[in-house]
Amino acid sequence: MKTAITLLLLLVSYGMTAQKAIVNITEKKGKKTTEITYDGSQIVDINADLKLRIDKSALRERIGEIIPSVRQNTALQAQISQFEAALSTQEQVLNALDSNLENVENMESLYEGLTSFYNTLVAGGPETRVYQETLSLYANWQQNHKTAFDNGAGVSKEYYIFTNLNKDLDSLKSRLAVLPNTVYFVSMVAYLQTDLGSAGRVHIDNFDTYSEQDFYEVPRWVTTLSDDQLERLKAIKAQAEANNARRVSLFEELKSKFLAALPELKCVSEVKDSITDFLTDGSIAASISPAVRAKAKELIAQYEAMVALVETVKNTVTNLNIDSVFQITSLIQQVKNRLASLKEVFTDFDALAQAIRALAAKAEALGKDVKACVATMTQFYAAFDHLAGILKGHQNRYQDNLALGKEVKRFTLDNLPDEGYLRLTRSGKREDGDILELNLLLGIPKEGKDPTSTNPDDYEIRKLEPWNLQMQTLGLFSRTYVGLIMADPYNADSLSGVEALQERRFLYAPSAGLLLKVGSRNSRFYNDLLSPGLGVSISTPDFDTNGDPEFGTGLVLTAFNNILSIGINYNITLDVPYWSFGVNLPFSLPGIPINRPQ
Amino acid sequence: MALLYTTEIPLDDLSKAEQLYQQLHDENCILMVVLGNTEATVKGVQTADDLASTSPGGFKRKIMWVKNHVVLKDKLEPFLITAKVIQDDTPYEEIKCFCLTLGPRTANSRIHKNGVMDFVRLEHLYVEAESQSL
Repeated sequence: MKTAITLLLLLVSYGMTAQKAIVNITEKKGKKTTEITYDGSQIVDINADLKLRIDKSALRERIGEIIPSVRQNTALQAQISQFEAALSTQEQVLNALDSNLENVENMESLYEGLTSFYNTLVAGGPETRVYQETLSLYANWQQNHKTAFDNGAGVSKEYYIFTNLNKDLDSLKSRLAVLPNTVYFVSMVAYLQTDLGSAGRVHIDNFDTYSEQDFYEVPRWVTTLSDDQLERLKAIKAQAEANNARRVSLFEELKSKFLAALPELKCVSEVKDSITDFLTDGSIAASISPAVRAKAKELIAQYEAMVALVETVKNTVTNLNIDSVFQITSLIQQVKNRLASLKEVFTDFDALAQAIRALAAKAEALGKDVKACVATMTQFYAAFDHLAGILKGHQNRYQDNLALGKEVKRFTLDNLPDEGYLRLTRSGKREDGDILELNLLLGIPKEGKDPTSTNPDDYEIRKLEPWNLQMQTLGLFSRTYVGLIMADPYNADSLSGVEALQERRFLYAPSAGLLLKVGSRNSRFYNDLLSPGLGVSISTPDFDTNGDPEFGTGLVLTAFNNILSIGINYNITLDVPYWSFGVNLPFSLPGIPINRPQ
Repeated sequence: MALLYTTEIPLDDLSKAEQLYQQLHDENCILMVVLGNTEATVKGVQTADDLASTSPGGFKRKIMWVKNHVVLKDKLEPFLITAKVIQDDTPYEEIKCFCLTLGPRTANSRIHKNGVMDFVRLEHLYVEAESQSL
């Protein structure tokens, strides 16, 4: 499922991949650094440090696409930034030119500044305004000032170029100052998705003031079974459900599932008709007391109200947006109350009708229909409550990650840090396959709202570049596992007096193993689903079914995250070799036959 | 305009070409090497020549112009190989211009045959070579 969701996310984010990435991530583990690409697998070492570099020109371009009114502003900002970058060493150059160049230090200072200047121009490319302006200024200097300079009377080309570039920079700034100022801010947030209880915001140096978590390094070599490993096996199904609720793109899928689960409630109109027929039935009309009639009408009204409520639920869910306020909680309560009320009215009606001998038979027939319909609606309520819980949880997770508290710093393009740092070892307890969501966000205050407000209702948040990094122990590592195996002894006939083995071929046995695995940098499918392991296992079969488990040990090969296992073993207690296989699905079913000692 | 600081290497007299190369190589100057004879290259040589008298640090600048990629290849290519300018996807024939430091001479950046030999690119090469000659 995790893989399917990943693929879905990749499809959803396809549009993003065509654009230049804004955030460039470099993973650092020890002395080794690795570039993580946006359109790659987005798998990082689970214990690495991440350097997050922001490509401001790509960011500027993206902001301009989202807020057209900012486009002109950002274009000017871009030009100003290019001028400022090129002129960052101008003071150093001009001071050196004014000083004695016989001095080696002055000469070095001059060339350091000039190298920086020309490197910046060449790196920016000839299409930048500062580059073209420099060419133009040189041409002008050569035409009008070079002769004087050669004669010792004019200014150097460096002095001329720097001075005039400064004038251009001032002019650009003046133009920017008169443009309407569009307020926005950029922030970056990270969120750890894990089922280990430490899910939440992760600190990024330079971008927020959240505290780092206690140091936790996921061990590469695990050789002991954890206390909760058995419990976790049972909980894998719940974990899968939680995983399902993680992703943004899943929201619509959940909605569809929810709507499909809503019953048509045809029974409601049928029951209404039945009650009406009951009231108008000539054979019993005379026996219907005013109290029964009033209760029957009340029952019809209750049904009608229930139908209206179900319609409201459908409309609400259909129009539900992941960014909108979740209103279903109150609807769930309304459905619950309405259902209770309906049951109560029906009980009263049934009691009144049954009390009248002439009505008893008809009332009993009607009661069957009503009870069946109430049962259908009760199922509806259960499905509604359950799925709404998943929807709500999913929306909460999404909004938690987007909501910006006072801890999250807000920047403009002018003061946005070039880099942020994130230490996964300080992100909290996590395990292989967990996800680190990283979001570069653009905040646009709503009209008339305070741009410095931390109230999420006061601004609109756009995701500029959502990353979904999977954390994984890469390369060779070891893990323990537990499971149930089916064991088949090779020479069962030699086990004298063992009746169980005469009756069936396989016996069940609990097993635990120590596996060597390899984490992939490139394939989530491999990490999430295939994940083969090779190692040693121990098991405690009970071939003689005397109630005392024997001890067996052997080699085991697992696949699909230890769901499938096959092993060759030896029962040391009984001196019997056996092979085994295991199918340990991440959920349990009642009635799975565990061999019981006789 | 006249080329005041540029030496054109003859293509039809190898010994003369090598002699001129050796003179320039041994001279205490920053040496810009231009390869090829396209219209853009001719214009670029003129710009390089104009810039030869404007070294901000007072370095002597000269230009050696070889109008094809055959003559003196055995002398010039090693500079580019050492500087790792020449690689599998960038052979000598795709280099249009590079600059050598004072002795011992080394090359650094280059202008590719598709690149523009304008003031910024040429002065960049000069400044780079001069800064590494300090």
